[in-house]
Amino acid sequence: MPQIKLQSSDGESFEIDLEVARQSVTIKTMLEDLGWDESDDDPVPLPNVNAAILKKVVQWATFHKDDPPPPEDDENKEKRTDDICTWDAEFLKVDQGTLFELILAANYLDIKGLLDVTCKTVANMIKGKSPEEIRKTFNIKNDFTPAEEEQMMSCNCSATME
Amino acid sequence: MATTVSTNEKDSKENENSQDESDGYSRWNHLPDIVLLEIYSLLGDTDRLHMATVCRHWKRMFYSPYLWRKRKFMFGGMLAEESAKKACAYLKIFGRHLRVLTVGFHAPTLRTVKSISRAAEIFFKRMTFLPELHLKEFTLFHINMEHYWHFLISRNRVINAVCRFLRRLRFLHTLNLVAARLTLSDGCRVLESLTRGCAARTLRTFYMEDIFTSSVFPVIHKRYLNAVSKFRGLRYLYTNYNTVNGQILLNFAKNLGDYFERLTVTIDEDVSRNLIPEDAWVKFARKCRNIKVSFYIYASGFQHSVTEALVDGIPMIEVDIVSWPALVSHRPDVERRIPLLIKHVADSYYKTLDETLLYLLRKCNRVRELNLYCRLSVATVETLCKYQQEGKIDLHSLNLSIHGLTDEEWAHLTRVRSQLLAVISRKKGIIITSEHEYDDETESDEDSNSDNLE
Repeated sequence: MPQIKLQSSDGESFEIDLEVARQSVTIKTMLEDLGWDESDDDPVPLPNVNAAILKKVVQWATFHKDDPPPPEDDENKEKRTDDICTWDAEFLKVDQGTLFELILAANYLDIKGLLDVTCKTVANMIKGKSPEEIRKTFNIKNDFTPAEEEQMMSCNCSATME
Repeated sequence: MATTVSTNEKDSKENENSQDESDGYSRWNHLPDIVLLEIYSLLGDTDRLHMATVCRHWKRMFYSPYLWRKRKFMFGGMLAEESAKKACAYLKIFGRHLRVLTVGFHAPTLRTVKSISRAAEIFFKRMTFLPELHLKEFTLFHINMEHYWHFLISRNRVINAVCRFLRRLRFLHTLNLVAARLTLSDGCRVLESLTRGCAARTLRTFYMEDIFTSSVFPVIHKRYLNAVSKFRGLRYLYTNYNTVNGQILLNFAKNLGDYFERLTVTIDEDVSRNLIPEDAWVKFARKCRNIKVSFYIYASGFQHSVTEALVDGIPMIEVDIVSWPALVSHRPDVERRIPLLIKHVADSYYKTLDETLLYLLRKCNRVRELNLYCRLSVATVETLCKYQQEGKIDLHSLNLSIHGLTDEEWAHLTRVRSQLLAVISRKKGIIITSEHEYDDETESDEDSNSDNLE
């Protein structure tokens, strides 16, 4: 199987199967645009992903390399967050910093499956929490004035349906 | 987008919370917009609102139209009116983003009928006068108007509100009024409101199965014929056999022509009073050259008239025959009580179903896909196989789900299956599943019972 070299932002090189790398739409397009072929030895630079995160991403993509292509977004399908497979759940038992970096990497590399599952993980962390609890969970600064916050909460009452 | 990754974070596991050195807060508030949108889309309303109240950056995506395109409102019980008022408050903020709307009203009782009908009035009035409404799909979820039969005022209130709303719509692509079960005059009013509004031109897909109560026989009424003949843009229509006749088909042919692509017809009652003549089908098929007709036949409604309805000349592509067990399978609450009934129904139509199926296949040799969920004798399957071998029929795929076989019959069927595979497998495929007698456990080993050769 043809191999390809990826280079992280901190200069580390990873050699992985082409098929694994092609799960990233960003890399796939890059290779197509560059007219990459097997004899090419130059590493593909990924300036937005560091080695530690790239290692995780490669690990995920290797496990999922035989997955069927993700279905097109179907608006009529009810979205769920409780359908994370056990391997992914185990894989995502990481600290919040890593989870955050993984989301950014999945977004930058355009790997739909990884982005989906990381977003689901974050959604599950948000569910059932008050705004203050969410801020605490993710260590986010409240940049609303008290008046603004109150206004949001009053909007809450009317928009909360079902 | 916050995409900077500092190079000294070699091992980010030790780096708790990806702190922003400057103020001790994390960078989570800088999530990219597309990620925020994805997370919002995974949450319910309350969680979305809580998420939006976290920080300014997160709040921005909260108003994104994408999140508010689809909505389902259900009104029921004594508090229906309250829910409708809340729904109106919702419409005020997000109504202009709505594209796909589902509205449902619970079946009314003596105590709740007033509240529910008022809810309909309040809600549809707000919808009718929403300035920027651009609805694409509208489903009135199983409105079941027959429940209102002795609540005349309330019934009128609901129908008036619905009609006014439909008439004022500026655009509608898909309408689902399945199981509305209207009286004749109410049904005609609803159809007239539709055709007087924009829907006469814009409506592409119309689900009107069981739009009338089963006691209504609409095709003999001029008002109905007029209303139903005014649609100019229909492509897909789902309806009952008894709501179509030769004249309506010809009107469709004239108005819709090649645009008309799919007609799905349900038969679940006696159709002997309304048999559509063959030449009407032939003329219809000649004008609507892209039409594909499929039939959905409920075994519980099996009458000999069904065989007379299935004449040659119908541009038929698909026939589904559904019997009771399949019908109730997704209703576990009644399943336990129903076996006796099933047995009775299944037995009494046992012969008819087999005969009808074979008759139907002989007559309609254009059937390519056959799906059966019913009780069927193995001999029938054998005959079916023989037909296929002799070229009398040309099935491309066959999906049999047969109930109530004994072990012996099942063994026999397994042998027949290999013959069937030989004649059909070169096409799309064949699936055979079986459920043993009703009190049995479901088949433990699915693989041994089903074949799906692609």
